[in-house]
Amino acid sequence: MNILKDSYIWKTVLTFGGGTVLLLLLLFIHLQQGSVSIPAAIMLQAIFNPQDIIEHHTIRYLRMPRAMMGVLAGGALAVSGVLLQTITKNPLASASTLGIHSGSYFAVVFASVFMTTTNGWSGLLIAFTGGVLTAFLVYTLAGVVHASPVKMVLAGMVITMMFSAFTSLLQIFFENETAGLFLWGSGTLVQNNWSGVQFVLPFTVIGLFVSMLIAKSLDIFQLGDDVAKGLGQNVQLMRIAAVLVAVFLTSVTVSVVGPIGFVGLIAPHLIKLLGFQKHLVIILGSFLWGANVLLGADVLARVIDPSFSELPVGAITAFIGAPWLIWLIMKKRNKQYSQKDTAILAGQLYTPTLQKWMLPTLFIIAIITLFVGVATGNNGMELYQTFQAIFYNQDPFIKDMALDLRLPRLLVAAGSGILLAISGYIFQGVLRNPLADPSVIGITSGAGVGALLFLYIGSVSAVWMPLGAFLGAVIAFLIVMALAYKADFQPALLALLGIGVSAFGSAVIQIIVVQSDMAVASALTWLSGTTYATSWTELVYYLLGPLVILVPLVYIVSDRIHTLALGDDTAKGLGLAVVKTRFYMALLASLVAAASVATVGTIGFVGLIAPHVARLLLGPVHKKLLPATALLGAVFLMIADVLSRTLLVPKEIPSGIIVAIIGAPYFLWLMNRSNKWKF
Amino acid sequence: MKKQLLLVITVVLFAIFLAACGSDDNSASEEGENNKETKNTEDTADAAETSITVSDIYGEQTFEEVPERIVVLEWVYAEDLLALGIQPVGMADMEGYHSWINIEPALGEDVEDVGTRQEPNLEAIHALDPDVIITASSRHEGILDSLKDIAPTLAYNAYPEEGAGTQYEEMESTFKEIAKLVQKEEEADQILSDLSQAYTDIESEISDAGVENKQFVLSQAYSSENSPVIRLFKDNAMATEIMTEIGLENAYQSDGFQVYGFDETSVEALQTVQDAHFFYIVQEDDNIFSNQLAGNPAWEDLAFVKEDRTYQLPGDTWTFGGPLSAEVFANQIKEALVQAK
Repeated sequence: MNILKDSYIWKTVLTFGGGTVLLLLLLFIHLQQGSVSIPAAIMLQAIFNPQDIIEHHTIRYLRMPRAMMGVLAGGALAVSGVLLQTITKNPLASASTLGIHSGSYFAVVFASVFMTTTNGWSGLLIAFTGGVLTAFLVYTLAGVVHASPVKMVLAGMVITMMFSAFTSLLQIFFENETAGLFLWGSGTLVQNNWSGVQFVLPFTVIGLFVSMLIAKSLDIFQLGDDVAKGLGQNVQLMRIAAVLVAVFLTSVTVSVVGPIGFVGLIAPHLIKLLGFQKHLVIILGSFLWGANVLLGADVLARVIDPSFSELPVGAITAFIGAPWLIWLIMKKRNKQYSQKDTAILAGQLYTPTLQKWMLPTLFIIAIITLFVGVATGNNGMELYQTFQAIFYNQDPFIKDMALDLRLPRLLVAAGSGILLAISGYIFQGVLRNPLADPSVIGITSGAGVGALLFLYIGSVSAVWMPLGAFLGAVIAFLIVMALAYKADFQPALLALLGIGVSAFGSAVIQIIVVQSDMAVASALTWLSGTTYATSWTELVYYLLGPLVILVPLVYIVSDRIHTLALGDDTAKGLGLAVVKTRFYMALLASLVAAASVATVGTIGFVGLIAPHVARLLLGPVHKKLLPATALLGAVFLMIADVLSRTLLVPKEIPSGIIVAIIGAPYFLWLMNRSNKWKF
Repeated sequence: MKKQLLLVITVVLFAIFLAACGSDDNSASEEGENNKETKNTEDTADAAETSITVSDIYGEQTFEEVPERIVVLEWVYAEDLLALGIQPVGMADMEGYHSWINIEPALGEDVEDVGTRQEPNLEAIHALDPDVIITASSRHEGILDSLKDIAPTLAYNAYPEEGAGTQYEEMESTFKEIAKLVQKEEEADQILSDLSQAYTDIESEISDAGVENKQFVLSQAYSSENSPVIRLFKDNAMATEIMTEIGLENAYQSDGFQVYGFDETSVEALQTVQDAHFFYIVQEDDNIFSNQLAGNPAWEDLAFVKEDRTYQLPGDTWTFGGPLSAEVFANQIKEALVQAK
């Protein structure tokens, strides 16, 4: 008993004493960083005995506010993470994994474009509203109290994808209004004076104080709903209070420093790993260590980028945090995420009669979409003239337009759609995970990293970008697989690892985009996925091969995919080498996806949704699912292409954004259907 | 069920039929024919003339006749054309052009917008039936083939890599190439020699006014969600070179090459250049010096702030433009210095 007590004291001393020492050290280094060098002695003098000289002003009005902001924001985010993790009983919960950041950020960007001024109170209110709505949305979609950790994180991710799409849309169309917001979108601690700190300080103190007040209730809550109710606690009220405080702390930071991810994930776990159980200690410890993490990241960001042209600290926290997330997932792999987490979202619309006609109907729809697409352009739909131009009077003007500009774009869209849909179909089958698709597995973001690295480090011509994308996709896949190998390719685990790799990839992308002097908007455009200006060249070079070789291959091996979808035990019983087959099938799916990403950039949701719609129409087990999925993918992306070039003529909208804007809500609806408690 | 399906298909087909009949019957095809006709007559008329050879960053291209319908996808090349008295038929991001650039002659009323500079609308360009497209290679390398399918395309890069010449040299040589394309080389030479004359005049005006301190820092500043971002121009920037031409000296020196010619930094970096004249370009509604930094001793105590050597240039001062922007800019600098004196 004595030894236990001793070790507890030691732990406490280490956590708080050591944490404080580290914080002071980081503060010291932080204050030393800047574009002019100021000796340590003068720096200390500036703090303790300020005079009216420029060095002292630099320390007191430029550097100290930034350091203080790091402490407050880091602490607030960490406490918010603690609350969210306890309340959702989800060790992976944090403001970023649950999509709250993206919701708040979207709200702020939206306000900055469509409202006149957004600072201080109004900014906070807007961010808070966005955050609360997002939290509510994710929580509900993941199935409220029955929400499993995996489902919740996946819901958070889909929400994040959706809001990111909306945010990109605003950024592309209001380039000037949102120019500065891109950097801020990755989170930065830069301060002009003390006003930011003055604004954040009281709210953070209130948030921290309320968290400490409910710490006891959180301890009881952790024992389970029934116990808590038995002890006379109002579980529902307490849950709402905790979520509100968590979102409040998050939006306070978002409205001042932008979304900074992963601090809320790292800090609480550091404390919990030491074995602390009481929430009061966990909250205080997390605050201290959250401050350390964020301040450390800011120090690191400025070490990496000595030119001091702001490398966003949020990118650094994600850069450090994503591997941490992966580690966390690997560590808890057997305890937390058993296979029951993967609920299949079954379809209901199918009827036998419809099934028989489904494939021909889809085919006809695809052809009609293609024809309509060829005839639709800047001047709206011109079916009659277009066909006359092509088949009868050979008007070279419209003919060129239709055959050289629109047709190849549509065919590229169709081809990429087919590839993405098939890839998603395989992933969902072999991983038995209804939420799997190339972007969830991390392949899409890997491709983005590869492409940008080729551009940035290799500084080769943009023509080679697709090759970089292809390599990046394959490498990302191998990393996810190597990690998943240890876990026997458990479906849920794989999806979570994919999210980790995705986040890491996004961080790298952010760092590259800010670091290189690339025009941000053009990088953003490609990253959001686009069929813009694709021509016969892309079709022939990148798509024809995969379509001719890979697609038939997929068809040939589709039996194995179906067998795997029946479950590991059944598949083993049928004599299938489960792990090996799963690996090869997933590799095939990655190659298929990579070919598409190389052509049109990172378009999400097609791979996620096409297989679902196919199941909805044909039923969960049907031999024509694969061709139906492929056709749906083609139609989906062709429609997106037509909309992307006609909605806001003469401006183009990247089709990936259109897909996300149509796809995400549909997907959320699909998720909602599978819940007992519905909207 | 079968019946329902047939019904759906019938409705869809009917809708398409209606849409086809409803749309304006043959405006586009007529336009196409008209364009074709005018082109044919020109062909015969100019057949005797000699050809024009112009080079862009990819090599030489030959034109049989002076191109008349020009589509421009980057602002600076539109400016070059305007300087030569030519209006493009199509131009990318006209709204942005008007808010950032202010030169005479102005862009014509009937110039068509062809979409954003990142993703210009190919159909809109095609519909204008251009004789030539002028663009920036850094933006549109990926779609160069598609552009060339529409019309001969010239691509230039306004931002040379390290050791590949300055932005100013690049501006002059591109301007001359564009002048060659439209057969206005004499005009171009005249404009450039007028410009260097203007530099000389401005230099002596500044000296005459008794401005002794020739040190300057040029900054373009904006806020990034409430925090100030300050661009400080380096020696390889065109704007810096223009200021050197009028006898001033860039006080801001830093390591490393930046292809666009500026470092992005914070207010701290200004401490090293306190003795210079501080010129800054800010948008009217985003003046970080009167919004974010006002009252902050780290800004207020800088020597050039205390001694009133800061000069605000208008937001539409374009530091990445052609010869017309260059002269406007040189004059703005002079006015600021002379008035302050």
